[in-house]
Amino acid sequence: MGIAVSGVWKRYRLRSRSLKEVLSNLMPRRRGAPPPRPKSMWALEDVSFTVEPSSTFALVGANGSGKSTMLKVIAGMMKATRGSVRVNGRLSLLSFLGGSFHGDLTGRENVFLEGALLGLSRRELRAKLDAIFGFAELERFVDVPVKFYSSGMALRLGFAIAAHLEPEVLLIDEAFAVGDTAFRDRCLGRMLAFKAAGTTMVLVSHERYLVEQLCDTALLLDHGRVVALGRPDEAFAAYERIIEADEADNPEDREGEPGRSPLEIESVELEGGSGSPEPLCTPEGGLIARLHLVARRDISGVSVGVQIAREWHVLHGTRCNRQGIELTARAGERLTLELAYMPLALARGSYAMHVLVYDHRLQVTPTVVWKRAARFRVTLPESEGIGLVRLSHTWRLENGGGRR
Amino acid sequence: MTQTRHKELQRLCPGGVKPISFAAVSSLSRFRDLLYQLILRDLKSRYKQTFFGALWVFGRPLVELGAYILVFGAFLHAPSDGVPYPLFAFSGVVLWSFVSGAISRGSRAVQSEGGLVAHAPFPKATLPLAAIVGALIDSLLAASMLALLMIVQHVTPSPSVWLLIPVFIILGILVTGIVLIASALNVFYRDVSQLVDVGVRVWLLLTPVAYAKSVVPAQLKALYDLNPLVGVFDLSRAALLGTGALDLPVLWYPLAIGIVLLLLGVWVFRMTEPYFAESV
Repeated sequence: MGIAVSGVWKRYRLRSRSLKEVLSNLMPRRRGAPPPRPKSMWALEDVSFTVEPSSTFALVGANGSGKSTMLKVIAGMMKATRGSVRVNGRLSLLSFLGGSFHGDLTGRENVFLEGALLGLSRRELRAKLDAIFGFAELERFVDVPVKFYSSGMALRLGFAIAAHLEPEVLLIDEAFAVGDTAFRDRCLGRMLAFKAAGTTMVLVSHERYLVEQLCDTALLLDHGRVVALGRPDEAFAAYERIIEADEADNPEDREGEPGRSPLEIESVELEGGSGSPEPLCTPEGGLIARLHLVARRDISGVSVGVQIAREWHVLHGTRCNRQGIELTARAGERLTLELAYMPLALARGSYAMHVLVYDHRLQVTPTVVWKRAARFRVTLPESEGIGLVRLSHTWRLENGGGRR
Repeated sequence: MTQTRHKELQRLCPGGVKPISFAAVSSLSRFRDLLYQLILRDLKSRYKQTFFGALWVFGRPLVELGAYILVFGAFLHAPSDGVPYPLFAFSGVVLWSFVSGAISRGSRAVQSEGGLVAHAPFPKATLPLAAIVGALIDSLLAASMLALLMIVQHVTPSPSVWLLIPVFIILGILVTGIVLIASALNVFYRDVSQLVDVGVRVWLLLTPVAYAKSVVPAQLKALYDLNPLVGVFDLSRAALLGTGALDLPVLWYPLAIGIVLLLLGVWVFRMTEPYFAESV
């Protein structure tokens, strides 16, 4: 039930041939005219990997890196320009859940249609109909036209149908961004059940914790090329490096109204770790950030905030007025603010620090945000659990267990 | 590199390495189930949120028939081979509604389901085929009205009415070939559906639907007979209403053209299907 992808290249046409184009090609090109737009692009370049039977495989990468194309090539919906893909086993692709739903038809009628598209027979569907609506928690809406469903309800029904497939190879294209927390939990439970049943799975996801929990192997794609293939945490570490490299290309990342800002943020200096510009910190060693600021005009009551972020999640945010510091200065005066994190209770990984300026302490939206003003990494001496933060904790066996 | 991967795969799949294809993924029963569901969807959804609902099945051919009776019957006095003109025209309309309905709906069937085609792996040929079957059902319902009209007009069907079955089969082959070609090419060029629309309209005028073949001048007859539908329509009227001699060999020509188109259609569709998802 494995999948073998060997040397797959996929080229997309970016525009279709038209009479206009044919005619303009016949004409001599004017000198100085802009060169024609590219006609095609490579969405995949020499991608090779094997998915072991009964294992779970993740495709990760930025939007447009070729993940969905890879999935469609595996599913046989697209033909690779070069290379070959071999799949052994009954295959299902989950993507565009509920995409076939016809608004005028009832939930029941749509389940039969979508089920047929996914390859379930009418007999199987009849037997599973109650279970499907039960899973989606839509028992009361079986005979209601789907156009009266909310978009969340339609997605839930779509996933519920998919959850009742019995494939040997299951391809999942970001099907998880569905429904509320309780439903997502059930979806994850269903995925784990597929895994336990020995289904070979390939999934495309941006959700690091899902991938790390579910997958044995991950492949990182960047602009159609394989960048990393290995354990999920290794692939995500490589992904973070790519994101950082992209961000480093445009360091001036200030949002808000920098022109109106009362303070100029000159630089951010990090202390407590080893190395620069991206110091490597430990939780015990802590981290001290020094913000060097210059007042642009006479100011009073100005507040400065700092956020610590990983990917797009802000893990912690604080502003100086919360601890009674409000900045008052004359135009041109230099100020240095110090912010100490002790201990630095973060999990292993790579972090960015955003600096925010507020005109006064009651202001909610910052006047200027300097995204990724500084970066640091955290390493841990001992192995850790999972998650984003490192809470200080102590285990103790109170009774039982028979001490020897 | 490739060699080692193949070896690896042989190890992973000792039972043999099958290349993935629709033949492997979808069995015939899956194709049939899907086709059935698509036909059902079209039937159920077509007249939802309409006031007259399923009555439209009868409404459309009736309106068309009314226009024919007025223009060709009353204004132009078109010859109708000795049967009452309404009956003559209606028998043509029933057959024609299958041809034009199947072609105009079928040729757009893949492109109009773009979202599905781009995101779900399923045998795409079900889409045009479902459209053809839908058109067939519509024209059979219209045929039931034709039967009613015959009863009202006290016209007994000729004993060779069974010939309508091969007639529909031949029309089906012909239309399926055209639809497979048009629906596949329309994914890449929308010109095709435009062309098909114009073509269907011209074809209607060049087919004895509203008038009898006898109006065609003798010197143009050979040219006119190149249209494969001429013989089919002529014969089906003769079979139903007894309007003339049954010239069975006339069916060979449309059958041959139909088979050629069908084979061509299957070939075109199979060649282009792997590129639908990225082009639709």
